[in-house]
Amino acid sequence: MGHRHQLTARALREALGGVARAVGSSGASLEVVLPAQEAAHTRASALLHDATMRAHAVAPSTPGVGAGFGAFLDGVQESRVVAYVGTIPIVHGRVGAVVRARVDRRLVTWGDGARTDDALYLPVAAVPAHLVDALVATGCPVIDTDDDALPVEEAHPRQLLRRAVHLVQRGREALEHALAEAWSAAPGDATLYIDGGLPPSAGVLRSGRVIGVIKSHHTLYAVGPALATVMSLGAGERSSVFVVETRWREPVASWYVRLRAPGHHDPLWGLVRVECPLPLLTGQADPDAAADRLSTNVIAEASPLSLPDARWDTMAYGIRDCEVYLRATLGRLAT
Amino acid sequence: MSDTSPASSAVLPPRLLGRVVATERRPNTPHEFHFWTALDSPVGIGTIVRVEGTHAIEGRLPQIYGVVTDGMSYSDLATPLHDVISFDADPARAVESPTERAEIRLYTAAVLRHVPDEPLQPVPMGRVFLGDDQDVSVALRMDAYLRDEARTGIPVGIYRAGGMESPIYLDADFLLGPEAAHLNITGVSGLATKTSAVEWLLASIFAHFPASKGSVAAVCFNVKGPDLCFLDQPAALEEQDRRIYERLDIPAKPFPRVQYYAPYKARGFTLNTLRSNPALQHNVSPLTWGLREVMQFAEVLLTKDDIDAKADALIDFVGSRVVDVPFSDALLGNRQYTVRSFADLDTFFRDLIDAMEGANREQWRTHHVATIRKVRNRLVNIATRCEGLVTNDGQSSDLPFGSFEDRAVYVIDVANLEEDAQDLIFARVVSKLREFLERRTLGVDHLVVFVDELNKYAPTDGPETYVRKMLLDIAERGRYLGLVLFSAQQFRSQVHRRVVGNSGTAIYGRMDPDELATPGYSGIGASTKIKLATLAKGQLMVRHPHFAQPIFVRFPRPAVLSGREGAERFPQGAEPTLQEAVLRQLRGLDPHLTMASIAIAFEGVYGEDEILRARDRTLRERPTDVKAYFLSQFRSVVASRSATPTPARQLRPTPLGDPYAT
Repeated sequence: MGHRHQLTARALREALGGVARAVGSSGASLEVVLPAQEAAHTRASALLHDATMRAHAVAPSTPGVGAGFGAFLDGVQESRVVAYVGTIPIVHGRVGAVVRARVDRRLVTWGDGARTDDALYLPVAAVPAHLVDALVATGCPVIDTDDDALPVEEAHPRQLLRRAVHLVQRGREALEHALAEAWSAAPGDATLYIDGGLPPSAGVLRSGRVIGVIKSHHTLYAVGPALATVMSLGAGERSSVFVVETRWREPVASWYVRLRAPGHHDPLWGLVRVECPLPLLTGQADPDAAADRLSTNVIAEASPLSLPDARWDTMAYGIRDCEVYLRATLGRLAT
Repeated sequence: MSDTSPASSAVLPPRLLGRVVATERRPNTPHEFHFWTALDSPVGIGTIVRVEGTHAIEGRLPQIYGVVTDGMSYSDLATPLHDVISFDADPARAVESPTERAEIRLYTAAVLRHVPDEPLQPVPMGRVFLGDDQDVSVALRMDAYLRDEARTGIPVGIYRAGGMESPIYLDADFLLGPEAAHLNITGVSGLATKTSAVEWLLASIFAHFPASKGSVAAVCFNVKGPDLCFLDQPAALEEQDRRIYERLDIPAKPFPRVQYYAPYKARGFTLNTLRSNPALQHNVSPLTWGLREVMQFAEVLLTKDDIDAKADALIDFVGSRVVDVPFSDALLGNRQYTVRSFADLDTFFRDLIDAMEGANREQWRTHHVATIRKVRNRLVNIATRCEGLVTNDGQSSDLPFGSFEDRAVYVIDVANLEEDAQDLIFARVVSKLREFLERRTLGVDHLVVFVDELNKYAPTDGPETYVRKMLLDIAERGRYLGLVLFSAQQFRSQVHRRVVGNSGTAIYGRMDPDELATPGYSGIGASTKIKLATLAKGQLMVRHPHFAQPIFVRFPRPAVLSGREGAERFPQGAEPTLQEAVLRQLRGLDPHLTMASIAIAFEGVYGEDEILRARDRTLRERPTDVKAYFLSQFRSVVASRSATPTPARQLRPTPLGDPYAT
């Protein structure tokens, strides 16, 4: 992974021969071009300790006390249509992920460096077999985007593209999860700050050394008055801890933290949701104190600002550093 | 001898510093490249680096050597305001921030050398290493003149970077000729840069000038204070200075052979020099010239606009027909004149003018009386302006032209003289040096002439003076003769460009920022200028024909007493009486001479002039029996006898009726 030669335009052109029509790689990536389709919704969640959702003031970090997080993990992806076989798009996806560890207040690459991968995404059954063979022969993995729920002959090309981007995202998440597992398995006791939710890895969750921080809020884990409490959190406050349960992962503890006063912004501005392994809180005599401590650490990462990134209100500088590193190492990649 | 062989640095692996980078906006060229380094890399302005090529060309991996000329650092901040917001405008909170922003140290380097030289390509995106001894040698092309079989390296200092010290050498062929020659030093006053650098470099030349190239000596004009008055006195050196001397194989000792020359003061019995302490008189000699010597260079002291062709013709006539030769003329009653001193000359002119007035003549030998009056006025005026330099007996006490010694320094102290006298001394001494070098009879093959305050003697603008013409002549043609000019000044921009332009090697100490803003320094980058304006004592920037770019070096403090230290340790002697002064000088020839033994000459019978003439002659002739020779020059004294007074004549009484009587 990441050590083979990247797919070149020339190799691709030779593989496609006259069968497919190559498409230039200029312009925005599919991640930018395709509008997001994820529906926003709310979901009631069980509170871990408090009887009702309420705001907790979080103590500011103490000067001189070491940083709460030892490293940051983030990944990037970029998908582009490279050819069309009739109406079938062939998408080239590139993904990468990295852990940047903090040493003497500077961020350096942890472990063996960034993990990267790329692949060609296409509905294999809908493309001539010799063309698939030729594409495989380029050395670039070919990933089948066939979806039983969406017959190719009935699909809108954009649906095929969206499907490909979704699989590219899976690839990125796989790299991120692998790195999180590697961190959890490595010796040491420093905590890893992950951009996004905790991965469904038992090893990661049991290590207790990984915290997820979610910037986007497609799903809000509160309804009614509880949601109102979350939306009205002041700067430096956190919500009550609740439990997030999903089919694909063990339950985790979670809570909202307001990094910055929203002022005249949207109520979600400056708001992040923290995920930590459930035992990390339940195993403590005072789970609220543990949540406060983690929240303090998360708030401490609000400086320095990650400007000029548009998501600077919720993005930790360490996460921005991961993205800058990946862009510098892999070339221009969409996030 | 310091070692520049690869073996000296082979024990240490090359130190990786950074990596070459280039963008479309800031591309690399064959002459300049950019590289980044870790934040703690020992790189700064002036650091010499080596870039290792990435692709072999004709089977050889290119190596590019460069010197850092500029540096910058920046972070990923889009605007400073973001940093202010990050910490709520509280600088104290920045310390609490768990993470430092990503930061880059980006340097620009000027290429010193490509190996191989051809094809000359843009610098590749390779790894950048700190230059070691061998790299420095190759980068500065010193390898060409540090070969064992043809070594002509003259150490100029130590280049330091990253804990390494590499000796830097100048090529003797390009410092003292014949390939190029001359050295010019610029720097602000008061930081002991210019004088110290010259003293250091002379010591280096004396220690390393190859025997195969012949002998070398130096003539230094001490033009201000006691700067060069203690070249034979040891200074206390610190350990770090000693290490440099040792590393460069230069004896940390004062110059073993130094001879001082100075004219007399106006009264003529003490030398006009700050080296007047009795303990230091053994190598101080008078510099005095007769009328003939002065007349040869009268042009130096005469204003070109003032002296027209007619006056010039009369001066020529006097110089060739009157001075130092018997002269008579019918108009002067065929009286025999032997003009040897300015006093004789004045007498000659006075008699001539009186005779012309008596005969009511306006012309004498085609010269108009007005021209004669004018020339008399100007020439006699020289004596006033050069008192102490011109002898009364026409004899001279001069530098040892024809017997200059190898590795000797001859210092001419003109610091306390009038400007005219300084000009005269400079012009005559340099002319004589040139004359002897042309004939290959000076005694040495190469001679360094050091002149400070060059902006005074060879200014960019101002009238065309004899001294400036001479300096231009040395700068342009001296190297063929072995006559090498080491010049110094505070403001290079104010020195004639042909003088500084002909200096193959240029040294810069700490510079005045205003001076650096002048067009002559436009080729130096802003960062290098700032470094030049803040250079510490003992640091120099060196330009040399072999170096593609200027290099910063350190040199130790000279192993000789500085002027200030010397003046403190050897304070000036009290102004002696005539007898003390004469005795002190004659003791240079005979240390056993006593005051009593020559007291007879000072009993009031003989005039001051007479005594000084006897002294001068004795000093010149250096007789075996000093006392006898000195006293033998006084005319015999007639024994005194008491005179019998003539009886006073009785005055007559006042006559009666005298109208004047009261």
